[in-house]
Amino acid sequence: MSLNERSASPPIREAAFGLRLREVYRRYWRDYPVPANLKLTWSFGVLVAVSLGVLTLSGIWLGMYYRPTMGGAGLSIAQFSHDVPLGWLIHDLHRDGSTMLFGVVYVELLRGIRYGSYRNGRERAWIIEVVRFFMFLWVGLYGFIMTGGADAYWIARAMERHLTAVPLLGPAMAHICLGGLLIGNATLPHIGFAHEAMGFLVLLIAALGFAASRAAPPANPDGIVALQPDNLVPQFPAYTGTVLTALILFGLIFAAIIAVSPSLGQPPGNEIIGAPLGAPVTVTPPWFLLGFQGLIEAGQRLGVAGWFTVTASFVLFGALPWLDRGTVASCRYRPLYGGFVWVLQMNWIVLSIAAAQPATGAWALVTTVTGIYCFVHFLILTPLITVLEPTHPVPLRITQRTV
Amino acid sequence: MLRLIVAMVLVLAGFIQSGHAGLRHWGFQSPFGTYNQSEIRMGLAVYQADCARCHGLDMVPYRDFETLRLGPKRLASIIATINHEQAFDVEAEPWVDRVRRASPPDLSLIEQGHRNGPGYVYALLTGYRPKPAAMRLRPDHYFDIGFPGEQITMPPALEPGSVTMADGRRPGVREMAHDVAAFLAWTAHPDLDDRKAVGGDMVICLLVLGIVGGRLVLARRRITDKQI
Repeated sequence: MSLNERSASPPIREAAFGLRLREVYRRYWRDYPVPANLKLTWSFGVLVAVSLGVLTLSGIWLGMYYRPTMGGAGLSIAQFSHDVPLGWLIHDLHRDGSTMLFGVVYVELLRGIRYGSYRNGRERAWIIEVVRFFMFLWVGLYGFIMTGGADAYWIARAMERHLTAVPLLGPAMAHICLGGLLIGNATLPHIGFAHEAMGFLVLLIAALGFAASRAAPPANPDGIVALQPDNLVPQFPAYTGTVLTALILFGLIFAAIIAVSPSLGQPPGNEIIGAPLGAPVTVTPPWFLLGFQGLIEAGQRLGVAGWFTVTASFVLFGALPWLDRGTVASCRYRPLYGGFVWVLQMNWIVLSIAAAQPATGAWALVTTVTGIYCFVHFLILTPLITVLEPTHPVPLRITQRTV
Repeated sequence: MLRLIVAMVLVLAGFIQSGHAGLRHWGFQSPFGTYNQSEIRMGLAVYQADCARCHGLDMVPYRDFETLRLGPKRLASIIATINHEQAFDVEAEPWVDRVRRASPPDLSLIEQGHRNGPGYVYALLTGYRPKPAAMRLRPDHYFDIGFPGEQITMPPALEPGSVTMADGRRPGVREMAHDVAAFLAWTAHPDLDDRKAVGGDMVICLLVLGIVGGRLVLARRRITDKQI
């Protein structure tokens, strides 16, 4: 049998497996037609699945030992790391797994913006992806609050203020999220349970997102909407190398972070147990939430409530397919807008760094300016530039075939 | 692809540099360094001699000391000196409240809360200076340049000569501070050696997998292309 032949399954085995799993595997995974010029970042969906798997399994173990009390939470985690065999590893897998997940998700979102994978029939998939991103951040925020550290406690206090400031729904949301109008003994059990429940809900949403992405016209780096059939190849073995590369790079970075710097991206003050009478000088969330902390700060300096800024940012992000008025999808063929996408990326990084600094003087100005720029990019720059920019012609067939 | 690699290299450089505030002259602080057992044993001796009068070490179970290879007699003598009636329930009072009451905090996790934990402890212990003339010290406080705010209620605890090494030498304050900082790093992160070993093994396994897998994929492509 040569390597190119696919073996037909004998009928007896097929009948024994009532669910016909092999057929599903082949049709929707192994032989699924995908564009022939996908880049490495298109394999990041697999990395999201791996991260979610690691987080779920390590989370289940951590959840068995977690004590949802104000003083006991941090101690239960420290005791878990000390006393349970390989507890330190499970704890690091969960904590650094969230870092890896958000690293992958941010790159995926940026790739979506850059190559126009949010438009031309893929709007539903994009919206589910934005909702999934929001859920990831919410679960991540809750997980951070559950650590019971000093930063976590004060972030929870800030969340309490933001929730109660929401008009009409505020007190009800505070009751649901915090177990009361103020943080109290009911808070950590509520947040702990919500974290676990939403964690599983997120798996469902991720699966839905995958289905929606498959149902839509396939995204490709050239942004071509109607791909010729000979531009499509069965996903495997064409992309075996790409997926393997992505998995191994992911594993290397994950192992390096756990080995050398397991608290990477976490605020250092969080290692101290949190309490009402003492606060760290600068209270910051983990790195993946810093950008949103910056947006909230920038909004507050302009008099806009935090909940509104965050909601508006997600609405705008989800509305990107309709804010983009251009005819060309991929930034390969509209380099001016591509440059502004790069500026947005750098702006987000600067915003995150600025949000982590004490909010005085020059850093406050930087936070405000970079925060406002995010909204300017989506509301003003995207519609204007995509309409007015002279674009390069988009080829009818894919270029730079990689497989 | 190239951008990804450049970004990764920058991130790598970033987090290797990230703990660089303060002194970094302990071996275990570099990416490949492990704990120095003699440093930690010495630090335990310093802790027992000078720190244990006031500071607890509640999060360190006795069995952890077995990894220091102290020997059963030494271990038994450590356990015998611990007064169980005085050990307080760690969960009963949150850490920060205890600190605000100016009572000595538990030392098990003290190095966790600082970016450069051992550097902080070392700077604190060796930072006691005579008070500057123009400064007004609060009552019962000491001047310490290594403590945030420079006024600390803890008296200088390390006494030169309180610990004797096996060869009869009595180390000075700096050496004792260095060793006790290493010891407290070990109490906060006893898994450091395992972590680096597991991480290093994973990296090697993944590199081997990557090379083998890459060759397989390329070989298959060569065969497939030849057949076409």
